[in-house]
Amino acid sequence: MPEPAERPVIGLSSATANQPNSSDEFHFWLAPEVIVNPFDIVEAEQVAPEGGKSRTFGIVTTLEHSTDAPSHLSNFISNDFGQVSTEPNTVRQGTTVARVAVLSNDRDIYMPVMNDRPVRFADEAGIHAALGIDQVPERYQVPAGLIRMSNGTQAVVYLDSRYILGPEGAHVNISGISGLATKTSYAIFLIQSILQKVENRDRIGVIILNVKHGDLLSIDQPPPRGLEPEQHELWEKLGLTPKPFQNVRYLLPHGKDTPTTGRPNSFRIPERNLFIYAYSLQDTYNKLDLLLSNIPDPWDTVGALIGEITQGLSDPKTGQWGPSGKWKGVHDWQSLLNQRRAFG
Amino acid sequence: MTPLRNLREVLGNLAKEVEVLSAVGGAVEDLERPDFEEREDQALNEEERVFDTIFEKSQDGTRPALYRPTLPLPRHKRHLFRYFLDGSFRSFFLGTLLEHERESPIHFAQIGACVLHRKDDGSVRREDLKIRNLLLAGKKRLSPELWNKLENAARMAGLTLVDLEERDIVSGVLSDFDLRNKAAGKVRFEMHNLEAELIRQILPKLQLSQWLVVDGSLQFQPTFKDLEQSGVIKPVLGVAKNFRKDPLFVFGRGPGAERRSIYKLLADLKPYHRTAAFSARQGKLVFWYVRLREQTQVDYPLMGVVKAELVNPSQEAVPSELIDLLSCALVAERSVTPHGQDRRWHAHLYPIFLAERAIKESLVSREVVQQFLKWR
Repeated sequence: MPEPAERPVIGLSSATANQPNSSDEFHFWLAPEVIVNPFDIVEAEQVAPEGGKSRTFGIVTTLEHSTDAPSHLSNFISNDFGQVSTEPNTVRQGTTVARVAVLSNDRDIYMPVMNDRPVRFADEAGIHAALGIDQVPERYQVPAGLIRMSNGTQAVVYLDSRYILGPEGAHVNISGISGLATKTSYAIFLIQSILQKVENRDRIGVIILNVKHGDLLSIDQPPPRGLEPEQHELWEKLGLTPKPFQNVRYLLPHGKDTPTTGRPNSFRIPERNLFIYAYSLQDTYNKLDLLLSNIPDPWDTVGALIGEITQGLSDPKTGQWGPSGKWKGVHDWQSLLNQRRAFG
Repeated sequence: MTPLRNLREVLGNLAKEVEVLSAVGGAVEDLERPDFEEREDQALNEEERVFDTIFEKSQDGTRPALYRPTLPLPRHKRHLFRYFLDGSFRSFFLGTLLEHERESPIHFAQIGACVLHRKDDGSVRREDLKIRNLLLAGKKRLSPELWNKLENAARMAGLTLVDLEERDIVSGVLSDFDLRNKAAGKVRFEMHNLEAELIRQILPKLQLSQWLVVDGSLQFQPTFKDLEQSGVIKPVLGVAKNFRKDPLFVFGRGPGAERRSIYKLLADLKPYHRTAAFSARQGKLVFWYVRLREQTQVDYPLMGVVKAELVNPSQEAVPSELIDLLSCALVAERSVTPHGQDRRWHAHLYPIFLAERAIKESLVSREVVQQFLKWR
């Protein structure tokens, strides 16, 4: 990788009386012809002890273009009082300024970036340093995606499996705009990445609760039209193989028509590995409070009923399933309902 | 900062020799008079107030009309004006030196001149910028010994010592009553000298297809003399946004001659038109007026009009086609404007405005000067 001094400078940092640079944020103006986008990661030259240099990394949050026109009226007047076909002889002075949120510094220095310091696109190593990825041991690295910047630099981003699967943590939060088929797709991709890369992956089981219509009922199938070459390339850059999930079991719920149709209560039915599940009374007699948890019960009336039923269906000696006494004839939901009628 | 540091040292040593009545707050900025360009124009042409010679000739030999249309010639059709020059300054009154019965004000000034080059795509870059630091005082108001000490100290500090009492065409318009009054004029004069240096430097780069536009008059010396040499018109155009209002224009001869004041002359000048070119200095200079904007777009009929000057070494009538070409290119410069940033926006060419800004950005701010130069 070229040294920082060999990589092109894309602009200089800028601090003004009204917009100073701070430890959280800095600004830089873009040199002409340079293209930068939000979420690009850049590095700015920063001070270091004993006259040395360090690098402050940041992510571009906003880009603003400003000119020396004090108002829009000035621009209107400058174009011959509203002529849309005027071509000014001199281009109005303007510059695009990027606002950058500081991510890190390679020598842990969080002084504000000074004025007129060179700013460059971060290279792959710089991106890893900026995001703290260089601190994640390779054995724990899970490819989580690819950053592609405006200058073409690409860098694989890794998550630390100790924070996804434990023991340090066990949570990933994925946020985004609803309806764009990104959050769920990303979650599925991340699961695939985990199953291909983490240690002891044969000991990992994945449980997906499907709320997405039929989208997730074919994750063991390849895409009907195959994967586009660009998509293949992306997977390969991540060191992953694009393939369907293996050892998938689809558990679809039993519906009211299932006894007659044999079909589960599902809009789409997978071709294989399909199981229909239901909650029998025997499975749930001691979890009725969970089944009916959405019912408001200010006087604990339902709670009392549940207690009565649970007690009636439990073996008084063992506490396991064992209807006794007047509950002896209750063995399924229907007979429970009949029992209710019997009690009036 | 180095000039200020050096200056502070000079002033510190001076304060040991003489008594000083310091200015309020250490330094007070000398404000520029808004009509100075107009007064300069008057002073430069003091002896000539009546202009009765139209000094241009058409190729077809027809008599030039008083007003001629000059539709804008934009850059993409012909990029004629490539270099733009302006000067600017900041001047501060530091205090009054008291040497026994003698006294003299002392001023500090920074003068600058800048040339911008406009590229094919309309963007500009700095071609050259000169900044000079001046110390001004009245030579005859102080003893020769003190003046010599001041001169030496200024030289060591990289400053130029200027005599406030030395007569020149610019400060001469101001009253002699108060020497302090003359400072701004003196600084302007030095600024014009600096502009002349820059013009001399840029001349070799110019061609008839690449002109230099200078803000203000070309009649200041040594500029006028430099442009007079070689006997041909040099590609340098002076454009003034403010000019004298007292000339009289006479058309025809004898009792039937028509007399027009400048107000009458310009009131009848339509937008994107120019007046005929008049002769001054026995034909060594031709000047004319161009209206850049519709009169409805500005408040006052004289707004939106610029005075253009061309040094004419041959002292022969200038081709009308050349005046037309220059005027058409000038009209095209009406966009972009510095509207909202300069009250003279209607007649201010944007690249000239940028040159002035480039200078101002390079000068030390008034806050820094005022804090740095407190007499201690």
